[in-house]
Order: sequence, then structure tokens, then C-alpha cells
Amino acid sequence: MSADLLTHEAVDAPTLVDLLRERACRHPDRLLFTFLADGDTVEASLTCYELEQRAQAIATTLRQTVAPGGRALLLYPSGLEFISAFFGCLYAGVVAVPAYPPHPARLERTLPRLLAILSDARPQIGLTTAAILPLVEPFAELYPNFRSLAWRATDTIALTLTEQWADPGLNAETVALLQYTSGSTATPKGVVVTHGNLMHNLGMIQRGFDATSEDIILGWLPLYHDMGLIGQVLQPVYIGAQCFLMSPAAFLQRPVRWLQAISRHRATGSGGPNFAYELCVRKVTPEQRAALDLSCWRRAFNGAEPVRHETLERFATVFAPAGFRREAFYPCYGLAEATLFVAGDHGRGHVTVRTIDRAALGRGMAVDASEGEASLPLVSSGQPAPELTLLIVDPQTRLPCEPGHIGEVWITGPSVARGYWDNPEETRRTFEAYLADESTGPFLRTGDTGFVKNGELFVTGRLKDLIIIRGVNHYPQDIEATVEGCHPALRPNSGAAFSVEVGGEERLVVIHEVEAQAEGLDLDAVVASIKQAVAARHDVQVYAIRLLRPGGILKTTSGKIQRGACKASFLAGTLETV
Amino acid sequence: MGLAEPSARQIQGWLVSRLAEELRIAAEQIDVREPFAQYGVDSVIAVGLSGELEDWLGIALAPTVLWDYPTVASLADYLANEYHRAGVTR
Repeated sequence: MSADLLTHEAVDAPTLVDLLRERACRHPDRLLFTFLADGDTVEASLTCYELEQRAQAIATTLRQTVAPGGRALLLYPSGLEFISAFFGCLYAGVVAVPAYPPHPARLERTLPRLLAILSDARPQIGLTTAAILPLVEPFAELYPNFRSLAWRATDTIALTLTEQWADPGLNAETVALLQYTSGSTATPKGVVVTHGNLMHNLGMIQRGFDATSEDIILGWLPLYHDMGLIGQVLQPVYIGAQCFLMSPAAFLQRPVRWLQAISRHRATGSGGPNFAYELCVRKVTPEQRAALDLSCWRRAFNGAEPVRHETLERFATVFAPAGFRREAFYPCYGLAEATLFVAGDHGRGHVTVRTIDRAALGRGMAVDASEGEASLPLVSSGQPAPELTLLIVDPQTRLPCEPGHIGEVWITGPSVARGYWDNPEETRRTFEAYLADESTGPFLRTGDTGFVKNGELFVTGRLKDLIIIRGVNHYPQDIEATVEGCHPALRPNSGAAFSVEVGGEERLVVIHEVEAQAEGLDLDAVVASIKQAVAARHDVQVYAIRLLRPGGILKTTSGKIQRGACKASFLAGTLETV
Repeated sequence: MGLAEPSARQIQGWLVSRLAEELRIAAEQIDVREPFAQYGVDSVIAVGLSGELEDWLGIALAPTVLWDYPTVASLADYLANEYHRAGVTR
């Protein structure tokens, strides 16, 4: 049938520009994107032809100031103009650098990262909407990083420019985007993603999800983030399927909007991090539930943070009367350094859960728990995509682990990105790992730990101390720096931030030493300062704070904070608090 | 609506009890004059509460309303005013 034909043709396109050109030529009137204002009313839409027209006009304007290979910062609110501008960059051979516009009331949290991205990526131009432009232009006077940047609103660019568009002559090796989801706030790392990486990963997603042009995709994930950009913007173009989008804020305001939109538009593919399913269970009322028909939902993907067995159980039970099918759950695993998708359950119609012995897990072994032992249910992230090679490696010996042993997840294949932008040292460390024989490689070191059992990947944690809360990565050193600077009684380089599991979710714990001579110190005020500073800068609620005497923080002989040991003492209740 | 015009004090009460629930702390710990951030209100909680307030009061609110009016007291005053204005034009 024609739908299949369309899918197969797409695989031949070497770049996203070739792909959209083909779509626009063959199916000009096919509706690709619809934006739902407040998750409900149709605000705007784009057909294949309209998207190409917008992309060509924006590309023509871009080329007046930026040469191919230059970089453009994309600062857009949720909406279709971001999609036009993203393709506009590709049509100009300009590297897209998506970021999020800072909210005027929340500059403390949003601005530092944007400034650090600017100084790392050094874009020649900033693209945004006419509505946002007056908000960002004054930044040039306040922040030197903004000064060298020309700004342009793309929604006022005339379509008549389309005729002047010149094909920049791209190939699979051309860099398409810098994805800034890695690295701490102070030192962000831009993953260099080529057209070839994207096309390869989109093919894997299409096969992994059994997606066709008859699927209907729906999402609220932020579009500047890899999961939103690739899953909700590029994948619909790749498979030629219709996609409905709403803003993350519309979802967070009323989580039921997500499910209502799936029900109304008969969406087949939609998902998000685990917390999104949790929010639906908590916030959707029985009356709202009764009006939903979720029987259309074929792939409910769950990724970007650990997938919780309890969440899947609760969601499936609560929404079964609304037609939700448990088989729709699609836990998956991926990371920006591998473009996006690495592993996902496919075609077997059930989610594998293994009950693992906690004590053995602590020793680096994955052993099924026996009756009565302390255990942990682990949800499978599905099968590693057959187009990639995935190994579980002992990071110390760099030898592949024996079956049943937990090690670091290493990956190689055409989806693995080229490296970190302008950062050869980090690129070598992360993207150019070799096994102990020094000849098998190079591999991408994911920093995630796990094991493979019966062909399925189980992720057990992080090698580094990365804290993942509500799908967002937080680097402990960022939080520790915030804490240290928020009150004069807190000692420098003498704190640790880590997460603990409480009631099935990751929660943040902060421990810090206070000065010995701080007589009559108002400890409540210190605690309040920490809570306020962490919420303001990192958007995270601190679950527990412990203030320690000088020397209370465990460090290595070279003075590095031992976060793992600090966490163990916290859990054992042996910290010496003031 | 069936909702008698709520006073700023009633709205404060609603906010304190919902915040205490979301933050898993005692309502007595919340000072209506301290900024939300002090209690660790994150964007998932803040934007979620803006939606619940819309449902309760039947008025349209920005998802960022908890940042624009960053304490229980200032938000409650704003909401009481908005509710009154919406009622006048209704």
C-alpha cells in the first residue's frame, strides 16, 4: 500500500533536506504538524509543502548573514515556528543550536545555562519570534555573550524569498545540530549531530516502533530537547505521519489535556518520562477518565529517566477502563550522544520486569531475588537496536563483563554522534573508548550502568553521580556550588548533593559543613537559604538537608567529595550533624 | 459556578493546604509572606497549581503565575482581584 511505499522511500534520503524535499514534492498537501493551543484548540498547522516553503524562505534570509557551517541559536517558545526555523537552518546548511527562551521572572534559573551555551557554541545569529525579540534584544547591553549576536525574527520573513533558495549541497557528514543536553551548567557540552546520525537514528526508531505514515504522533515534550526534537518533530517527517503538538506548560497545567488530546485525535504514538505517567495517575479525576478512549494508543513510550514498575502498574490499572492497553507500554533507553534512541522493547507486547536481589546488586551482580530477600523490580529497556553494537564493559579493566555482571553500557554504530563541540578532551574521553586490547572500538561510553539478560537491556544506575529528577539531568557539582554560595556559614568545597529513592521517585539530598566558629548560628535560616537557592537555580525541591561539623564530609585524599560514601552514611543515619 | 466570591484569605487557605500536600510538609510550616521557592516549589508543582487554580476559580491564568506573584499572600491578593474583575464582566 502507499503508506508502506512512502516509508521505504524515505530510507534512501541521505539528509533531512533531501527527506523533506521528497515529502513536499510527493505529498505537498499532507498535513504534518498541528499545534494545539492549551492542548485543545487548533492554533496553527503545517503541510509538507508549507513547511518546505517556510524553510526555504528562512534559509534564504539566513544565508545573507551566515555562511554554511555557521551556527544559529534557536530561541523559541513551544510552537510550529521552531520547526520552520529548524528546517530553515538545515536548508541553509547552518548548524541549529536549540535552546529555550529565558522567562523574565526566572532569569536566575534559565539565564546562566543560556549564557554558557552562547560562549561555547559561539553562534553568529539568534533566531526567534517577533513576540520574543523585544525580550532578548536588551540582553546585549547586559551580557557580553549576547553582543556579537545578530537577531532575527523568522515569523515575519516573507514567503516570496522561497524562489531565491539555493540548495547548499549537503551530505550525510554535514553537521545538522548541536544538542546541549549534557554537561553541567557552567560547562555545557554540545553534542555534534550530523544528518547521517539523524537519518540512521530515525530509521532505527521507525523500525523499533513499527511506525508507518498511518501513525498519529502526539506530544508535549520540549522541542529544544533531543526527545522532543527527534521524536516529535523529525520522526513525523521521516515516516510522513501527522503530528499534534502542545506545550509542556499546557501538559503540566492539566495533565489530563495530554490524554484528552490522544483520545480526541486518535493518537497512536506518544510518551514522555516516567513522571508524566505518574502525574496522570495523581491528577486525572474519575469523571475526566470516564470521558477518555485511549484504545488507539499503540506505543506509550517511557524514557529519559528510570522507568518505574509501580508507575506502569498504577497507570495501566487506572486507565484500563478508559481503553488503555498495557501492551502499549514501550520503555526505552537512549541518550543525546547516540542521537537519541538506543534500545526499546518491540513487537513482543509485554514489558519484562525482573526482581533483582538488592544485596547482589550492591556487589555488581544481577541475580534474581529469592523469596524473602530484599529485592528491586527492574523494568527492561527493551532490546538494543540491531543496527548498533552494545556491550556491557567493566570500566576499570575495559573487558566485556561476564553474563549476569553489571557494567557500563558501551555503544558503537552510525547513530553515535561525532563528539562534543569544540571539546577534544571530553570527546576523546566519552566517544573514543577502546576495549583492553586497544583495537576494538571506538565506543561511546554512556556513563550508565546495567546488564543484558535474554537480549534485553536493564539499566541499573549511573557510573557518575548524575542526579535525574523528573527527566531532567542535574550535575551534583552545580547544586553543590549553589548551596555553597547561598549562606556565609557554609564551608567552601565541603558539601555533597545526591539523590535517594523515596516512595518510588528520586529525591534530592544536600549535606554541607558549617563553619565551627558560627556561634549562635540560626540553622533554620541556613536550611531555608539552601532550599530557596536550589529551587530558584535548579528547579528542584530539596528532600533533606543535613548540616555537618567541619570535616563531616567524606573526601578522598586528594580532596574530592566522595558522594557515594556520603550517601551511604546518610542512608545509614551515621552523619554527624550539628 | 456555584462558587461564592472567595476572599483573599480563603484563597490563602486553599494555597497553603495544597502546597503542604504537594511539598509533603505541615501547613503550619508555610509562611504566606515567604517566597514559594523557599519551600522548594519547582516548575512541575507551580505550573500544576496554576491549572488547579484555573479550575477552582474559573478564570484564565498564565502557567507562570506563581513566579509573577511569588508568595501565598501576593498570589492570593492577585487572584481575589482577578476573580472579582471576571465576576464584574460576567
